[in-house]
Amino acid sequence: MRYRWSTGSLTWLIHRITGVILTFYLIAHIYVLSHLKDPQSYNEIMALMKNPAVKISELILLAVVLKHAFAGLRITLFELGVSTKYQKSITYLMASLVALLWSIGAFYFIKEAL
Amino acid sequence: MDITTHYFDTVVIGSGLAGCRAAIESVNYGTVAVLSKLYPTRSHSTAAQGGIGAALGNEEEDNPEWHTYDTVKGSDFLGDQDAIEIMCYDAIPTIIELEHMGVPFSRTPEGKIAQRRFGGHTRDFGAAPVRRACYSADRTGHAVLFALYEQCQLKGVKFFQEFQVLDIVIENNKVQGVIALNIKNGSIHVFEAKAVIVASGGYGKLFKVTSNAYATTGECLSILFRQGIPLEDMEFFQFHPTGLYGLGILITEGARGEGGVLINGKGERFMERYAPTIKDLAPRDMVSRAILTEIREGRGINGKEYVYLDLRHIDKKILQERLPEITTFCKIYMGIDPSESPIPVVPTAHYAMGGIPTDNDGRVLRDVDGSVVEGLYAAGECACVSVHGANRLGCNSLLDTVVFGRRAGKAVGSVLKSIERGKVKKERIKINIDCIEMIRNNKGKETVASIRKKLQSSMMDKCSVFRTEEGLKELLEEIKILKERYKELTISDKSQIFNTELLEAVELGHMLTLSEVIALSALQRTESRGAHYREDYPERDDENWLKHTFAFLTEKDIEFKYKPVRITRFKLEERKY
Amino acid sequence: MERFYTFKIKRFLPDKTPLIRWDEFRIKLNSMERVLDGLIKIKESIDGTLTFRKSCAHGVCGSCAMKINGKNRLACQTLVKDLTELVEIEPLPSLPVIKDLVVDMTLFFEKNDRVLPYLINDEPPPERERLQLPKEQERILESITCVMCGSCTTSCPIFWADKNYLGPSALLKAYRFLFDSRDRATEQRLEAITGEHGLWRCHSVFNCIEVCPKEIDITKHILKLKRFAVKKGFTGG
Ligand SMILES: Cc1cc2nc3c(=O)[nH]c(=O)nc-3n(C[C@H](O)[C@H](O)[C@H](O)COP(=O)(O)OP(=O)(O)OC[C@H]3O[C@@H](n4cnc5c(N)ncnc54)[C@H](O)[C@@H]3O)c2cc1C
Ligand code: SF4
Ligand code: FES
Repeated sequence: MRYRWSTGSLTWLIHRITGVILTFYLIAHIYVLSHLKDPQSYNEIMALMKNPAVKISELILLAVVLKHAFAGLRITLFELGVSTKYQKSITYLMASLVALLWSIGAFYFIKEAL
Repeated sequence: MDITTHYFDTVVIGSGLAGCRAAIESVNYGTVAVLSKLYPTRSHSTAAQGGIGAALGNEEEDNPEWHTYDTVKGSDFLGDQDAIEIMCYDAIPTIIELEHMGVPFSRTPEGKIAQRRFGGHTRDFGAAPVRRACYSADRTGHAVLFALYEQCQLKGVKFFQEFQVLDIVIENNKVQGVIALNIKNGSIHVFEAKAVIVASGGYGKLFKVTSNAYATTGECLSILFRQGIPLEDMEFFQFHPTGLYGLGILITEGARGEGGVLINGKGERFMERYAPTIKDLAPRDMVSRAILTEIREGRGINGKEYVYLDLRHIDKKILQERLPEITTFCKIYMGIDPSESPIPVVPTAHYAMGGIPTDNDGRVLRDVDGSVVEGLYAAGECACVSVHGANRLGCNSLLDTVVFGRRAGKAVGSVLKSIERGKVKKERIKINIDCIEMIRNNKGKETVASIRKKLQSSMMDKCSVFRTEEGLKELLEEIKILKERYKELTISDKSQIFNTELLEAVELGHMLTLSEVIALSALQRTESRGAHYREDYPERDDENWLKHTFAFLTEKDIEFKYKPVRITRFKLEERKY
Repeated sequence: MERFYTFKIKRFLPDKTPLIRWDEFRIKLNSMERVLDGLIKIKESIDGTLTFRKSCAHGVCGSCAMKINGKNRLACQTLVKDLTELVEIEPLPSLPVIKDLVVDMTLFFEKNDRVLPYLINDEPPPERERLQLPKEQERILESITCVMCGSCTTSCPIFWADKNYLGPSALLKAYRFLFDSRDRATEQRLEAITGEHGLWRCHSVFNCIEVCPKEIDITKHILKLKRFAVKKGFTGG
């Protein structure tokens, strides 16, 4: 079904999608952790982490985490009584914060990688 | 054809204020079904804006006697005074009851029901305007209708929504039941009953420019009329002075109650000339005539066919709180903000004073001598008690619907035990099915729209605020032609499911009948009274015409009989404001 | 000023094949006319079988809600001049279609019945009106303007996924009574709305606010309900 998107529904959809991604990430994360049995496997995995593909996915992961967290924060604000009149502005504010924090994060990531 | 038969002690036709109020009362005595061609809360009552009248005296001194006087005078002395007295005295407990049912009336600072001024409502027998209209911002009808519908649900009234009534069966002078069509699937439903309360609302759609909804086509009146039940005072149709120019959407009288004024092309506040005492709050018939006179004499805005309703001087906060809805209408439909620019308005067809004659308990009268049809009741705009006489005062209609809806419901309750259950004969059902099938399969060249458009514009031109013998005769000729054309009707939608084209065709047939009754009634009343203004007879003629018109359909033609007006307390006087 | 518009309408003719098709109609409308006027014009002069609901024609009865250019609105309150030359019209989403633009609203109305939509107060009524201060009434003023058009509930993705979800309109109705100072059925009503398909299903998507023709901030009311329910200990569901 086609239905026109609005700020609210887009944010909601992104919140869901990021949620799903994070769930999968968590599984992967636990899977990886469960393989850290000895120094050798630790080193192997850490070497894998240096792979540029993994670096890029970490950047994406940061975006996903930030987006999800701030979407949750936004909803919490409304539930605590912040006026829904500012629904759109808060969404934009949150999006800007996500962008800002991600840029800072990305800066350090890249700096480290170089 | 799929036919289902139901039995209910009482069947109510219409789920507007009158229907719901009657149902709430009669469900105390037996089972009740309410049939409505719309979903209940979509009934036209929901559009009522301004208020509902009762001399509560919450804002300033007031009493039901003044209310009675105003209504009598407003009716141009054609209203039956005993009925008016009942309504005005019953008003107070009825409104209080509505409040207890949950109607969110606007409030005074101390929490009582707030009241505002309305056209024709005065203190001390005409001395000055009084605050009598109880309101819920400018959504009074909506607020009351929802509360009543909700109470119906609570009390277990059974609703049949989107059921269009095709026939009200009267046999041996006793109502037997109702035949209806389920719009959703085209099946026929027969409702046998002990009593039937008709609350089917008005018929403003006979006119081109109207504040009324598409559903207000008045077929139930015509259904009864065709069976020999008279229609009373059909020549009196109210035109509301302030409809949005070009659309007819209503701007409530409450806008003038809150201080709005009418101005013409020369910037004059012209109502000062027509009604020096209460000016813009004069009754609607007078204000409508005044506006059209200004326009006719070239004093419309820029010579165009409208005047201005000016609300600019009213405090923005008041507009926001008490007239939010009409402010929105102006913004959406005209693109203007009433706090900044004046609103272009013209009179719009609004309210039917005439209708099915009833006594003070809603029993439908069969003749001028007061004989009744057993088990048949009517209330609301479709009925004529008559409390509105030749002209209804603002906020008396909602009052009429709840007061007389309640009384009709009670009256039904008192006789249910002694009436026999009705029986609808097979032949009668067949006639109705045949009629529907005939319309469905007719092969002509006329369309519903073309006939309806012509009818509406002719009615508007020749039978609205100003009438003449010549015009009415022409109109009758035209209606005759339209009736011929109706026989050549064809519809393109042949389906059983939600066939609105078919239903519109059925409605159109009834609209033609009603228009004829109205035009003939207007033609024979050779005087001017209230909303009925004959340019060739501009004076009120109490000697000959202080009486109600009853139109009957006989074998030959439409005939008239007359019923004297019941005058109890207030003597005739000249109607000046 | 008159202009040509193309109305592209999703048809559903239950007794024809194919059941669903898109029809295009070209009509001339002036700048004051609304989508409803256009539909009527089509029905009157081009195709009499085109079916839609209508009554008041000025946005107070709630009959004519439909999806216009991808968004639910009242046809009688949407001026064509505010739209593009191509106007795409569909019935309200996610309700069973009866014919063309007419949907079966039963499901929608039934939701309302679940929230005990009537004032309940068994205390013997006083002789005069029950007093209600303007500031007490203030709380329900917005919620009483709902015309039950169904635009909100059918625009809600939660409802699309869970047809049992009460939806914005019914929750608003519950609010209207819960916050009416005259009502006494607080517990009963909270019980009724906090079930599995009730209040907590609202995820503040705000689609309802985008479409409400009465500009009711529905989500605000639902959030207030949530806080109220928590305060009263109704956190189940
Ligand atoms: C815009 C507007 C504003 C108004 N403002 C005020 C005001 O401020 N104060 C005031 O006192 N009055 C006002 N009025 C007048 C008042 O609203 C009406 O007179 C009153 O609501 C009529 O109520 P009713 O119950 O008789 O009929 P309605 O509310 O019109 O109900 C008629 C019912 O009958 C049903 N029906 C009709 N025919 C059939 C059929 N064939 N089969 C099945 N069902 C059928 C319809 O579905 C509907 O449910 C206003 C009117 C309008 C148009
Ligand atoms: S809340 Fe608004 S959108 Fe929802 S039903 Fe009521 S009027 Fe329609
Ligand atoms: S027709 Fe009543 S809301 Fe559109």
